[in-house]
Amino acid sequence: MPIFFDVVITGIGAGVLYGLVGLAFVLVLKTTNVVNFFQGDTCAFGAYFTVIFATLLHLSLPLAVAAAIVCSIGLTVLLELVGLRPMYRVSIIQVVIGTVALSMIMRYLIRLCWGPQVVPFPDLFKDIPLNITGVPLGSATLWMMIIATLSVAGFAIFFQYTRWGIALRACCQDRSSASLMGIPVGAMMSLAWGLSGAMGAIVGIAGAHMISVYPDMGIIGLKGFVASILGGANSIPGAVVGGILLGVLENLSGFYISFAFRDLIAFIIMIGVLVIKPSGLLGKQVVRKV
Amino acid sequence: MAAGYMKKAIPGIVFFLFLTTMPFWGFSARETIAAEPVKIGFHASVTKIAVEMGQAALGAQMAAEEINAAGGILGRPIDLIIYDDQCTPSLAAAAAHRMLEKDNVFVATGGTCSGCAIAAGPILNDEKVPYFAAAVLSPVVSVPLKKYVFQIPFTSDAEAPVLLEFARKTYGPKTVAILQRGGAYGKSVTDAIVKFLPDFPEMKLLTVVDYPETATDFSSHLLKLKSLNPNVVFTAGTLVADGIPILRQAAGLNYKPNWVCDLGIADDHVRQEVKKAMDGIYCAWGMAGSDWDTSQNQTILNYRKKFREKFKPTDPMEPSQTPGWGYTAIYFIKYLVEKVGGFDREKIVAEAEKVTDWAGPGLMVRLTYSPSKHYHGNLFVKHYLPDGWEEALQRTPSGDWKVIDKAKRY
Repeated sequence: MPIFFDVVITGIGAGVLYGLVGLAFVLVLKTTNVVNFFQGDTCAFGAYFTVIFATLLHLSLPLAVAAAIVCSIGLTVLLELVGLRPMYRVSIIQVVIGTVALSMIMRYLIRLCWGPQVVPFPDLFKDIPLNITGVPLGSATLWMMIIATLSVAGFAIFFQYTRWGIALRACCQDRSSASLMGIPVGAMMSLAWGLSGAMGAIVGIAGAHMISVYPDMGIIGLKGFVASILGGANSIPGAVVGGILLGVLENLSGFYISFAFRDLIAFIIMIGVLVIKPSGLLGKQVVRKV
Repeated sequence: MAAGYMKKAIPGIVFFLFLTTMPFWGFSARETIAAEPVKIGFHASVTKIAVEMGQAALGAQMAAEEINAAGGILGRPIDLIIYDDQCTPSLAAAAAHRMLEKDNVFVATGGTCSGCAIAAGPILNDEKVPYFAAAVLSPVVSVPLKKYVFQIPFTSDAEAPVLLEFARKTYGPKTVAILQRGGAYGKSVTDAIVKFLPDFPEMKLLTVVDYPETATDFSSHLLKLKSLNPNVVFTAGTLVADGIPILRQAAGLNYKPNWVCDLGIADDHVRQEVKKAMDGIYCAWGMAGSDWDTSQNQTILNYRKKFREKFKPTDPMEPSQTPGWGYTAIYFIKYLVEKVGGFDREKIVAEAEKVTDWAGPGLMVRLTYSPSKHYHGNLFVKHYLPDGWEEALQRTPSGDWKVIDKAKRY
């Protein structure tokens, strides 16, 4: 029993990471109808920018993290503006394909600038340790859980109660009508991409301690995508719930069935959800009047 | 009068000598200027995973530069052609084909991932081009025997008994487990441990936990090990990219087994990256260039000095790990060519077959593995101590492990 508890708890730890990436997927999807396949790479932006500011420019760690998040937001918005925005006129499929291309380009650029090797990452949580007796989770994972909870609450409030959040939702439902109502659609889209960049950077920074910093670290984006499908592609809490569920199922299947099965489970779940309940666990079926 | 005659004759004699010797001048000049370079193919994982092993290419370049500056091999400069195989067997195979069809290399070397050497070796062997796998441990590279394929470092079959022997002396384990990375290298280390385990009847293998090369989350693997609680956990094929998260995640799970790692993780790079995560663990160590027992050799000292100046390695104890393999390979090829007195592949292969241990300019080659030679003199164990210290241990003839060197690594 204690080992089962350990497996579930550590699965939650990994799942929170997937959930936060999934949340960033949902943010973009909810507001622009685009599945952003370079979401995982925004995690790499955050981690690499932190390394630049903390170890090369010798900023204090909190300042380095803040600067890294700001730079990641800027870079994500810039990439969307330059690389994707012109494609919206053609079709959403074009934009989605564009995100795949951007992902590849960013990975190669990182490789070009930093080389392919693992880059040392500062010990983020050494000054603010957080340990709970009996819980087999490191300080970093516990902090991730706090960040996830705050993020879900924050975004829920943002979308439900703020003018900008409501404007973003309006843009998603009907961009033309939103524009006619005086909502600056372009700025709103940049805001959505910026928020996803911020989310990715936070995951990258917090996760780098555990999964290392290297050009292909954005591969975690795939798990985040599955988490968002599992939880409901238009549900913010659903993404986090989906991520946690995915992490736990992965860990249980790896532990009790086969390690080879562990990575397979994510994609089996994704296919299963798409077939049985396409709207995901907490997502709502979108009905369009025609 | 005679003197006057001679005086008049001197210009004629000089002119005659000039005319008669000119062809020889021409030949020798042409030979010096236009000596055809000897093409040596080299493939390594210069990018992507196992890039730290790809540093062997740096060592190879350094050796080629040194040899060329000293007049080349039998007067011919080395043209080193490096391919990045990205630790991907299909790319290594493509590189081997290119070396044969486009470059027409005289010999080939390199190989920093076992799977790549396994892919490239037979292609070169079929075309009768000698191939010296520079930095791979899987015995599958050269077994079953291929006439033109050689392995420069020791194989996993030599490493595994050292790991087992060290574990027995240090921890006296009753139970052991293996954490294996996917791919040919990890499999070769696991196979070798399993093969030699019957020689250590007091140790029982509880499980082999394997993970794919792309894994980033090791929690279920580590929990499996934690639940079985073996006295010792061997890592097999674990490299830098996966070694860091494994050690950090194990610490996060409050799981601190007695790690005995194979040398994949014991790289310059790792020590800088993980620092404290490595504290307390033991890793196999020792390859071309890391022979403390011959460290008084002036050529070794010169090599280490040159290497430090050129590449500024991070390891305070050993400057030569993986680059040393590449360096050794090129010098070994030079040795073979000079030994047979020409660029004859068949003679070179015949000569290489005779070599078991070879001490080149500062480095050692162990070409032939034999079951009677499990305990190679140049296999060591490194112990990573707190506060950045590390110590090297060597097995003594009595079977004990003795500290032979100690240094601060960060």
